Amino acid sequence: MNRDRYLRDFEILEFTPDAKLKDVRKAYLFLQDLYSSESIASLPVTDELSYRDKQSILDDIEAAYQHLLDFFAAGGTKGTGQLPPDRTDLRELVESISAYDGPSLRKVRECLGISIEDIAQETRVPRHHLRHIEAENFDELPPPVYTRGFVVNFAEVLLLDPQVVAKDFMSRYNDWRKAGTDKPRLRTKRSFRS
Amino acid sequence: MTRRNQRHAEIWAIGGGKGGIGKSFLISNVANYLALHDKKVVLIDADLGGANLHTFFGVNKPRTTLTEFFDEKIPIEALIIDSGIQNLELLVGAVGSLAMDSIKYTQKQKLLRHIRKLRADYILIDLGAGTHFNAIDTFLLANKMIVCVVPEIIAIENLYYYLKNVFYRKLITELASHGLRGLVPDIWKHRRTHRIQNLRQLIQHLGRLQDPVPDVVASALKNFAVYIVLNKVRRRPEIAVGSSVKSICAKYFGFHACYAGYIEHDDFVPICINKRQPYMQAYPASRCTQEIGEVAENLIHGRPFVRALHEVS
Ligand SMILES: Nc1ncnc2c1ncn2[C@@H]1O[C@H](COP(=O)(O)OP(=O)(O)O)[C@@H](O)[C@H]1O
Ligand SMILES: [Mg+2]
Repeated sequence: MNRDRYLRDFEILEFTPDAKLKDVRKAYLFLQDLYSSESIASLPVTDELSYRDKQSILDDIEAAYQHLLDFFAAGGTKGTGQLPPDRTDLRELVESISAYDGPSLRKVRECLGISIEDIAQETRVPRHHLRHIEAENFDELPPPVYTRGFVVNFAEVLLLDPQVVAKDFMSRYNDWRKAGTDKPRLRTKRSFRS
Repeated sequence: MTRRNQRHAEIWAIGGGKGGIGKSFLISNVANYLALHDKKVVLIDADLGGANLHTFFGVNKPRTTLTEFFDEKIPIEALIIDSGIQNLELLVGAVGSLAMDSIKYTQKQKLLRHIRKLRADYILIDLGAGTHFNAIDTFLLANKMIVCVVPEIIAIENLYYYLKNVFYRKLITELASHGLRGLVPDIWKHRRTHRIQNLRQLIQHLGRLQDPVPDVVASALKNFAVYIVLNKVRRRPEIAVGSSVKSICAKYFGFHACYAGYIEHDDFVPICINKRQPYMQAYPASRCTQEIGEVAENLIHGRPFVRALHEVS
């Protein structure tokens, strides 16, 4: 593990080394799309490189992304300034999740070594909402449109696909809401006042 | 003498690409922005094909010509005309010679020397779309090299073509200053035998040659910074085209480019030009004006347009 390797990964994903965690995923998806499909920017240069060279660009992007995930998983350059050891458990964890719920978001967050405070700061989502999302305290969460937005922001910081996470989480939330419509809801007004 | 006079002006040049994509519109409005922010600016029209910068400010061409300057009859200042905007002066007419091949090398040097000495904070040069090496050499001399593109395939193709030419020329001149003038053209001529098909492979090949070639090439790559501005944006997803082009420059050609920002299409731009009215003066609060300001600030600080990736998602 050395610093040059990380700097090269950042270069491949076209970032300066002060890039934020959530930007890495966006850059990755953007570049992956750019180099695996045709667009007005790539069509004029299709004959420029061989198939093998093009494939190696994609491979480099993939490798840099996976490597940076591990880098962030181990806390980035925060703290002692020492570079972290290689870690693959984040990838394993994410692969083991079949549908996202509150507890799985918490696991990913803890694996990434990010605090609720960090996320609140980055997303501007109030921390109690983040905690209620993780704990699935559905009765404490605001109406679906707001909650969905919070979940999307949360997922972005965790480098997860926000659409997938939102879909999984919201279907659980909506199931709970449907189940609750028969019963009188005591706290419905609270979320508007707080 | 004030401090301003002692310091050399920073030179920005815009060139290449295709005609009609907005190079002159962009550079004249960036000049306008700098002037509005108390910078002294000289804007030079060196477009051989269509010198038209004065039209953007609604002023007439001067009667004096470059010939008179070369015959030592007049100082360079005599070619300068008032733009009608405070802090902003224009140098137009016959200066197309900067991009012309009939002009003698010594004359070009003299002209550039005098241009550099002009009292200004910024000297902005519009080189037009020409790819003649005289134009490219002037482009390479600039402290900031700016290119313009619109979200259309032909314009993008033209841009790649121009940038490849510019970088190829840069390699030649850098190696020439180490006594290796013929090296790159020679390798390129025999590219079949060297199994070189493109600029990227040429750079790789040069990197494997003996000292000092690899170092010269590495430093040429490091110092090469082109700023890309995307013009005539009509839909939000098009903003990402700038990021894509920048990325392809790095991954396909191997040189660094910086996406400095975008400017959207505004129907009032041609209306202003027809009325001979400076756009920024007529529409100081438009989105286009704001975006020009953002581009200018990014150019001043040499930094990329950071929202690029976020805008698309
Ligand atoms: N952002 C814009 N929105 C609308 N029209 C534009 C814009 N930029 C340029 N144009 C139009 O495109 C035409 C060509 O612009 P110009 O600056 O002369 O291009 P170039 O110098 O690249 O040949 C001009 O007539 C102008 O009206
Ligand atoms: Mg022009």
